[in-house]
Amino acid sequence: MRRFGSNEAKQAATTQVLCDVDHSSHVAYITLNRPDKRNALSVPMRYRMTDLLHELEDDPEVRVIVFRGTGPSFSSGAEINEDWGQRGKHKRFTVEQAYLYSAEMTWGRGGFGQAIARCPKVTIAQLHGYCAAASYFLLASRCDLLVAESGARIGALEARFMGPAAATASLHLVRILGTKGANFTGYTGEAMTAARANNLGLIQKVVPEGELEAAVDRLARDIGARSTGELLFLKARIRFGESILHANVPVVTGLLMSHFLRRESDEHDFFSTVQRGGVKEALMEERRRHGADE
Amino acid sequence: MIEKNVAGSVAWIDIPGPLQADGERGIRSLTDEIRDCMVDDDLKAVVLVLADSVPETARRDTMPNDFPPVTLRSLAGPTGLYEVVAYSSKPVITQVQGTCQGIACLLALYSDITVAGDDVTFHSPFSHVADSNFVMASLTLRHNRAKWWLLSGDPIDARTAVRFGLVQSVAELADLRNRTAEIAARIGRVPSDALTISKMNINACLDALGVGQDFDTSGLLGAAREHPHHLASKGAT
Repeated sequence: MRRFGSNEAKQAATTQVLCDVDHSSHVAYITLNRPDKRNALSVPMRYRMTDLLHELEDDPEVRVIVFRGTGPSFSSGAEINEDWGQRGKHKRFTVEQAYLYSAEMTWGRGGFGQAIARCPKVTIAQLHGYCAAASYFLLASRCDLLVAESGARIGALEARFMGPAAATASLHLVRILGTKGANFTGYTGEAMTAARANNLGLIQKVVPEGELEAAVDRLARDIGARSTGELLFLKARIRFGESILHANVPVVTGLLMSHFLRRESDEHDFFSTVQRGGVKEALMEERRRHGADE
Repeated sequence: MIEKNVAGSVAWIDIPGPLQADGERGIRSLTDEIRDCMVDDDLKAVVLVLADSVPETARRDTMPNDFPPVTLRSLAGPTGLYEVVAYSSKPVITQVQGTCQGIACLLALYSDITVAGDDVTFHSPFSHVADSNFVMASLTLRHNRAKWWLLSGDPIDARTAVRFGLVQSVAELADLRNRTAEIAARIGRVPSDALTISKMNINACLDALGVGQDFDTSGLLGAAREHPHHLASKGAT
């Protein structure tokens, strides 16, 4: 099966998404290891996460899977300045390319978000720093349990530049945050504090700075100590209910339209700046233009 | 075992011990009593008073399994206890205190309003009562909170229960019955037809949201699972 991404990105993904299994505690750790890019998820990294999840599903000794990140933040979301193998660089992508990107590599049924949502093992997101964009609405929010450090910031920050898209159009976020919660955080691109995310029902546990790793380790080991049969049953119970609630459906996102098909002048400027000077330069430009505080 | 009294337009059904202690007969008796209240023109609301559901010394993993068996049908079938409460035609209020788990916890979840003593702890029923309704838990607590409750094994105390929406009012034990009576009296001032029509609409919303589907199919998951505490008799539907 064809896998997209440059050769360099494909090779790098094996060290950018690490996997460690502690069979004695029945806990596996998937670690995002691209701290220089705030763990931005390239297309090969997303494939690797899906592959690792499938391997861990088949490992009878693994009962819990923890997602965590190295460096200052959990993840800044999907890599947006990437040549993943689409035909040349066009100002306007075709619907076919957009569908391929979204359905196979990002938001759709073949994406890593669906692999997490449908995983039969218990999944935990260990959040510190920023958990933004796709790492919020496709990764962390698809996990069963979310534990965050008190200084963490979570949200669809990209909504400020690209529209709310997935943050408001996701059924699972509506179920988690409530309709108004999903609308407000999505349309404003709010970077929720850990406390606010806890109040809204997204994050179930907030721990003081410096205690995150130990807290998640303890939680994962406690759950991992329970019988495989019980945990598989409880996860099946959840997934069954989620299918009824439509909480596992792939994201329907307006990003498909705005990002790939037709850009407003603001979006066009943002992406032009990204291609010319990188994401950091584009974000700085946005701050200068709009006075954004984050 | 259960005792029913009527005060004004409110029926009070006191259940002094674990609901499954009298087995099938006890469950059916309670279900029939609630259904009779629904067709009594003089009644507007039903209060189920649930005592501590298990003795204090019992822990989650040592829940007694020597109670008489109870069929899935009597608990989780369309005319079973759970659905009679969840889809009642009149408001059902549950009053709980102490350790609330198993069937008692589910009745609190499925009822319209719950009033709790300040000593209450709600223990997830999902491991022990396989036909527990996860959709209802998700809609009531919100999705991720329901998942935490189900997977972590952490009980929910009174203060958290109010914050999560599982409980609508908390009172000190000495004042608990009075608090419940106040709430029941407020409901009693609403016209009967209005209450019934409101419940009809709410029940339709529950179905649209998938509560009914979860009731229908959760029994399949329970029957497929071998568990020493699963309350089901062989061959029951």
